[in-house]
Amino acid sequence: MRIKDLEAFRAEVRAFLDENLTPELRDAAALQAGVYSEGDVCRSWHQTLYQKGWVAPSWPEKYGGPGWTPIQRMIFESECAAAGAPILPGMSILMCGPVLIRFGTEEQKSFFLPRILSGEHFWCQGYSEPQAGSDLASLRCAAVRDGDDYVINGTKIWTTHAHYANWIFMLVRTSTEGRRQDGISFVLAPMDTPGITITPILSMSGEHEVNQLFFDDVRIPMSNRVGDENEGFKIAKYLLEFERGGGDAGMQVSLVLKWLDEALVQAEAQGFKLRDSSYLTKRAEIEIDLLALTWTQRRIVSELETGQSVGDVSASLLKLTASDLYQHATELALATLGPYGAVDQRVALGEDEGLIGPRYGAVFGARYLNGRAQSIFGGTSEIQHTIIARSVIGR
Amino acid sequence: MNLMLNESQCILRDSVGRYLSDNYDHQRRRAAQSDEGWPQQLMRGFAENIGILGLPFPPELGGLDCGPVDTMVVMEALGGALVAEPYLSTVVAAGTILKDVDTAAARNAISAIIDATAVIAIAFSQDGAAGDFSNVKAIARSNGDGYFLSGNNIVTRGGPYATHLLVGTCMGVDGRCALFYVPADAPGLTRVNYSLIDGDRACDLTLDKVAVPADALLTSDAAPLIAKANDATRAAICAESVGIMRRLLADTVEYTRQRLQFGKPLSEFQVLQHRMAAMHVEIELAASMALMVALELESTPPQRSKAAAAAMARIGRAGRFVAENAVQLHGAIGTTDELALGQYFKRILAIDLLFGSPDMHVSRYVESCVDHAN
Repeated sequence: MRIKDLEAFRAEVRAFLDENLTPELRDAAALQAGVYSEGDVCRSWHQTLYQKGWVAPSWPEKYGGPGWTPIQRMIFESECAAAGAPILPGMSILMCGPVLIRFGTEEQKSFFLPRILSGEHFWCQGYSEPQAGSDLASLRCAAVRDGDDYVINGTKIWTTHAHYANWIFMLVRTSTEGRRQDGISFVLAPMDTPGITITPILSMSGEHEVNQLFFDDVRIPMSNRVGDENEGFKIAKYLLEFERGGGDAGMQVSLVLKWLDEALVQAEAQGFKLRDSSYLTKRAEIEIDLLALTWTQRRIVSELETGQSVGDVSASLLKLTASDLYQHATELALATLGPYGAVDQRVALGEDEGLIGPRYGAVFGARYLNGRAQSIFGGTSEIQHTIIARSVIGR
Repeated sequence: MNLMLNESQCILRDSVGRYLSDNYDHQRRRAAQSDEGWPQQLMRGFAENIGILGLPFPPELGGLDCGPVDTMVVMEALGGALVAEPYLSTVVAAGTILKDVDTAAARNAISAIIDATAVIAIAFSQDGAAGDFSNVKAIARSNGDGYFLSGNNIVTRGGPYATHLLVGTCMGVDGRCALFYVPADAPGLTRVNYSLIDGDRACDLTLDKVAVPADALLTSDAAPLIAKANDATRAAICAESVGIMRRLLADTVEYTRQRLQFGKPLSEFQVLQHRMAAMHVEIELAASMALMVALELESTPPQRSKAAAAAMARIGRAGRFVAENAVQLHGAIGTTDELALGQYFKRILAIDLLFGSPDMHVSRYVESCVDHAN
């Protein structure tokens, strides 16, 4: 696609956002401390994009995607960031969708994919366990065959938005023989299946995003398995390539900077000035890093087909760089608030009443704290280094 | 939009790379450092064997009519072989200026660049470097048929072996900057020669009433051209740095795979693996910035300058990180003068000092943001 056509596409996206992204949605997105939007904001924006046919920008057209190239998808996402749009949770569209498209049966695809698009199904991710974090292959949550069913017993942890989800994709142990990686299967379960209980875990930012799940004789049909039995680890790693490298790596950072700008304007309207003399330099360094990240992603995706993964090494590189930069950006935003950054704004989160200082600054503390998880979830930065090193050093 | 190199760029990269690895190794470069004829020999090799001296010039002058991405490809290869000068000053910096000057003298100069009879050193202020190197005045018209140039230019890279100099001056009542194309053997022009830490040669240049003919004046409104040439130089330096960094990492990987300590190769220690992964990430980010600035060279001057500042800032940081870690991972042998490593390290250091540190370029970026806003 030529530059001219891309600019026309950008204008089309911009016009759509101008028309459909309401001030209420923009405001709610700015007051969201975590990365993913929640509740009504999430549902409403999902529906708007769904009606337009744009809710799954990375999916091939055949399965209900808009048929964009990866570069078009980057343009769409950068325009969404520039407009301050909410970010939809990644578990359904970014992670589960590509796995079903690649490994699902025709029946699974025709049942699940339209329901992901419509928002009827909201997914959560059952990977980590208390004893299996970075060492994912040590997971124990077991699925045992019983007739045409699996019976699942065990626990999953750090399950983002499990309290909103009606489906879970999860890794279960189906064999204890041979290599640990060779005894894992990838299965799907409705969250209302008897025997599943959800326990919330509060983050130090004060938010309830993640949970621990307990599975007590949870029975699901074997037809809910994706791929072959004991072949789940390969599928799990394929999904991680999308979790790490499938989104717009710079989008979250652009949003942090945009909301910082708006908080500075709000502060000035309230009669005080937040920037100290080092602000412009620190800000410039983050913008320059963001430029490097964005051009790296462009370079990587420009040769890909729609729906194709960036591959494990590039995914790790993007995830590592983006999470590091996100942490720097949220740190700058919080530091810029000065003493207002020290205010515990938890009571005011989610309500308009009681915000102290510039309105959008009220979540900078929570966003910084929440951002500490960026270099841990989806594989720690240390794991990403190990994956990159394997390719750099060889052997 | 495909950002991968196209087929002809891949061929260019491979042919330059192959020619350099066959002809210019570390020992040969070192042996030749005191020999001031070596750079001309290098340039003749480029002209006769791979034709890259004509890269950016129009076909009617014998050039290849290639763009900034092709220059990026060549500069990365020259960086990898540590032979970027005097291609950088002659083809990239002087070439950018001469291409935009529509005079017979400029066209002749381009032809001389292409057949390697002209090697050009830059004697004008390179803003963004640590200070203003240049203080030359064109003081008078002589008989309405030429000029006298007086003044000086310190640390003139490639000056000792240059056949010609591009001299920037303040001239006229309005003090606008002018550019002159001056033969290096002009009477009144003296050079005090010395070596730089990266092995290149440089000189302090003094002009004492150097008489030049009227057509030596390339332009009397040189500021926009100088800014353009400086940004083209920065883009080329970025690509060169990427070539250097790739070589530094490749040497480091190779060394850590061979060196045994505690009974196993260094490359099996996780702390070192992670360091090499971090070096790789820095190089990929740097390569992206080098491509970005190459593509922005044809944008509006403010956008071009901002892109060049961003790229220099980011790549300068990456270069130091990769070079310092390459030495660290080699251990004691990395600190000696025995490996090519030290030469690559010093070129990274020289780039930082000659073309501006990351901090300086961040400041330039900030200024360009403020300028944009106003």
